[in-house]
Amino acid sequence: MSLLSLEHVTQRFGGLTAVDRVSLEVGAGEIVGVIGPNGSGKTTLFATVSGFLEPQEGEIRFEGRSIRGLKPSRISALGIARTFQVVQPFAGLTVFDNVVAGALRGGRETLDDARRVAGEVIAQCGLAPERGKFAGALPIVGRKRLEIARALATRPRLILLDEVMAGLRPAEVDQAIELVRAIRASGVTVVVVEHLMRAVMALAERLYVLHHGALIAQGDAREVIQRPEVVEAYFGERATHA
Amino acid sequence: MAGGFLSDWRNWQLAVAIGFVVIAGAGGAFAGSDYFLQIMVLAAIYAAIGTAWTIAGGLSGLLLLGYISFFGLGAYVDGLLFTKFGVNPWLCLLIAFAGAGLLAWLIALVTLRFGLSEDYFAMFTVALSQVLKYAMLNWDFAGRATGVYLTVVKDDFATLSFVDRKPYLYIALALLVIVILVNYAVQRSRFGYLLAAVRENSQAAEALGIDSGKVKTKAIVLSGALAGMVGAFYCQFATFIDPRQVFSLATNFEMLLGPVLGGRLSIIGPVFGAAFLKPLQDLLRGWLGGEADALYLVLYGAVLTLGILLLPKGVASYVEAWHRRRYGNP
Repeated sequence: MSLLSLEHVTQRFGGLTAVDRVSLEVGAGEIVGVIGPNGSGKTTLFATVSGFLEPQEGEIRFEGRSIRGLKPSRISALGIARTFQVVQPFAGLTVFDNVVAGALRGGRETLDDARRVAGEVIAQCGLAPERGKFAGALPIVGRKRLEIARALATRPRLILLDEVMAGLRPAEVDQAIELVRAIRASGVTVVVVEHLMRAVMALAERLYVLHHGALIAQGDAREVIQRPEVVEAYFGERATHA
Repeated sequence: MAGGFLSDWRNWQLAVAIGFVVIAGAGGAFAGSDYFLQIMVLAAIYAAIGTAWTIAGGLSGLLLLGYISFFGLGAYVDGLLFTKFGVNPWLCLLIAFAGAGLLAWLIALVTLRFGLSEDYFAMFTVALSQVLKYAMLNWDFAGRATGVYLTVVKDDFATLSFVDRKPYLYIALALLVIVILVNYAVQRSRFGYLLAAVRENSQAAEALGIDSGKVKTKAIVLSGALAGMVGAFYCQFATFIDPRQVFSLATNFEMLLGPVLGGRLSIIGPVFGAAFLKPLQDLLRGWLGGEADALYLVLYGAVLTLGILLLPKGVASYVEAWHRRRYGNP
């Protein structure tokens, strides 16, 4: 049984179909990549899975049960964590307190437990030197890591990472790749939305390719990116924009 | 060790605020004039209201602009239950706590359930306070515009009635200490973290499993209930309440001035804000004259707006920065 499954999920905004009958499966322990050109619906898909948007059509199942229409806080409690493409730190709190807020799991953990978990997650994400700083004062790499740390602190079964490599320097990207691998090794299933092909190819075994909201290809990462329709949709568009 | 305790900003504030209350109480013991005591009691009431307000208006980030509803409701709960039914005023304090909490819960239910955005929430709360005022102005049982009178003939602790003004000061300061301790406990608790998360970014909080609606509801209920309790005490102290007084918008904004200028996320802000501003307000009111109520409102609106724009975290943020340097925190 797959951990997460989407069946014909559709998300429309007025006349625009941002996500068009998307079906996908994520098995426990996988790292799955979702790629596609700008505006292809990747972030909208994450927002739909995490409950920030309710789909007009389709079904979303997590561990076999429907999560469609549940509130984001409820979906988080079930074990799905997400990061935001545009980072959303609690700017007025320290890095440590940001992660404690996540580790409280909506108030179901005691403060002592949350503080212990936060300390561990901060160390795992390489944020220990920053733990006393205010989140608003972090550089972009720190903010991206904080997004991951806060999400991880909720102890999810599945984590949705939205463009966590964007804006990082090459050496920082390598560290982030190692971090994502370590997250999977700790037993958390990972779905990455990522523009940076180097990072996607280093991480994902399987890829789903979105174009204008619809899936145009899926399968083994190395095989998928060589298909003509993918090259045209994804790289073709990038080439013309470049 | 004391240095370790005080190196925490919240602990430091607690110590300073409680110390100030003790000094005020000791000072009040030597106060000769009733006028002076009157101002001290009102300042303590304003400080308690301001400190209670920050739980919702500061810590949870709700724009709870019309706050006097809870105070006024509490005052009427005490006034009516005591004079009409002979309910013990101490018990009235608890009933006012529960009643104002219930009103707050209803407000949260209506505004958060139907997803009123921030500015509409603020306007709704202001409008509601005036609806309550006009309801009371038209309610025969509550004495309409003439309000409720309490007759006090002797000092009696059991019925919270005193001819002497000093006992009121001690009780007002005790209530202030209770509100300060509640605020401090909230800030240090797990609930305090949830409040901070919702305040800083409610979308990110939701993504972390925090039900922002529930958290905001709890904040406004606690905040409203405390104001109701203080309102009930005010009725005992004033011995006379009417709708134009306990649901006054001018008083509403006066009460919020302390926490807003002092620091909405702090404990010392509302306490010292009220201690400084309340006497100043009385001076101003005397100077502008009783006819200048409208001018008074305009002035307060302007100061409140400027305060929010220029000092978003209040004067206390500068003290906090000093505290951080003093104790070498990052």
